[in-house]
Amino acid sequence: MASASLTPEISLCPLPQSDGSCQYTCPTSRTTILTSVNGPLEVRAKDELPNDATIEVVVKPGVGVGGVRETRLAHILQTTLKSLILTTHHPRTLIQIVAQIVQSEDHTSIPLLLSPLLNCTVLSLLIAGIPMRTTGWSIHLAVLPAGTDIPNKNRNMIVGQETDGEAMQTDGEDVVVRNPNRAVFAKAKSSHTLTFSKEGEMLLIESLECSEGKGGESADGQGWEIDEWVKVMEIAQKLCCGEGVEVMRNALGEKKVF
Amino acid sequence: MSSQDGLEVILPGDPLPQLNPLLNPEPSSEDMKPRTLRLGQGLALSPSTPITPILPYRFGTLHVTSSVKKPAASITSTPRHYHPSPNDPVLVTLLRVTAEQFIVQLTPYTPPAIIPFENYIINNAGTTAAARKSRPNLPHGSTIYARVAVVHKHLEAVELSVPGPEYGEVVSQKNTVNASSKSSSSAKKDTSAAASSGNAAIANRNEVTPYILTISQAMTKILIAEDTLGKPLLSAVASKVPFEMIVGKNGRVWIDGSSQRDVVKVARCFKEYDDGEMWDDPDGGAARLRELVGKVCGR
Repeated sequence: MASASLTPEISLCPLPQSDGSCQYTCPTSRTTILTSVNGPLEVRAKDELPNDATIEVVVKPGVGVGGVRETRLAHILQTTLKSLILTTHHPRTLIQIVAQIVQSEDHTSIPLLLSPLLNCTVLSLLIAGIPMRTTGWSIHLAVLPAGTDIPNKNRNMIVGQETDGEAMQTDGEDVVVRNPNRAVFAKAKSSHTLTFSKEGEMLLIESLECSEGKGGESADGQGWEIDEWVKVMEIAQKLCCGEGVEVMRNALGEKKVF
Repeated sequence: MSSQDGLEVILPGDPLPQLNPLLNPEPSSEDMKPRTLRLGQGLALSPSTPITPILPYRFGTLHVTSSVKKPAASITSTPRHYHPSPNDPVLVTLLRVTAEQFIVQLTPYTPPAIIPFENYIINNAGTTAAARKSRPNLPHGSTIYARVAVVHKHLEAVELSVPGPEYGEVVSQKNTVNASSKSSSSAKKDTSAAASSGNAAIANRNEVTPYILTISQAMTKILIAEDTLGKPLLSAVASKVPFEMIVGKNGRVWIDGSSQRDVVKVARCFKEYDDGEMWDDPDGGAARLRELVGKVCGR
């Protein structure tokens, strides 16, 4: 497999009893997420908001019982989705989102899980017919130091190298990799999970410095220069608004509506 | 179904340039009145976003009626839940009666809806059930065919109305007598097969209990569009078994026939068609439908 497909595997409505559900497999890191959305439902009295719908997100881990990590993931999802969902359309109700991590190379790594979680949830919300302002797409980009040795089978992850894995110009320039798997991600010096709306508006930034590579050297002590970050952001915006939206349209286009 | 194939999928937040001619209609000589575009399900007015003054907030296909008199637009989608919208015909179950209203169940997953007595019109003269004398004495659990009157997100309950004698409690006998005269524009329709089978067969049956089937939203839309989407199913079933049905948009269909056996056959055909999602087949479910009707109703 010289260049595996970069299109995620999406299966809509795998759960027949929920209002909207989706299973999403990341093409490169093979992280698989299953989400279910129910709503608008009756809300518990203590969570009731007089003018808005309450959004409840539960992330269930792939192994073991949920802990701080899952709570953090759920919180990131909840705040991001809050800006997408038109909560005023269904006041005093509950929109319940449950995400189950089905498969992941590293169940402890938030960056590997976050972008599939977000994409899968947005698709489920669309299927469930929850009123939304716009749609969003998330991508995880990792920056690898120049000259990093990337195995041939993973070459398709390098941004700008999707078509031909032959020519590589790693000399001098850092390598930006999208949705890396664990092996590639281990060599990264910084990781950026970015989410953009269809119109190119930024919804989420989760950037972090990685212990491997040579993080922590920049002036602001963040493991990356601001120029580098802006470059990454532009790549992410292009991918989310172009490819991401196209993937979403293709997946939903197959669903019949009356 | 085939008419939907060419339509593009609309995602929430997509600009809708198709609606622009309807928004700024050129002044025409014969009609100087300002025409208002009616926004249906899935569309909302959003003055804060200049690119999309009319914001689609659900995914689906755009459906535009660009008639001169009543331009309308909506997003067609098939959510799993029923969202009430005004003028929907619905089949509800009476839960209890209070001093001013009937309390009814619209769907099992929402709080009960209400039918105020002054919205309950019992005859052609417009008499309402507001007076104690004229109030129909309905037993708990009876089925009422009603129309959605008021839906407001800040109201506690959805308000329904019974706008005339063709609505109201669904009773087998009553409906069979008036069945042929009642092919109104609403969803309350009887198949041609039932009408042609003659009133004699229907009149002398007493022990038939009509059946209320809970169906999916997609199935509801198929049954309501009896001349287009629902034609394959309805004509296949009606050619074997005469029956009558009333479709409520809240996912319920009332089935009546000349014998209990017929009612069960029709209900089973509908249920299996729905459970198998046969409309999703590449051939529109024709092959599986033929097999199903043959199996259930006999060849």
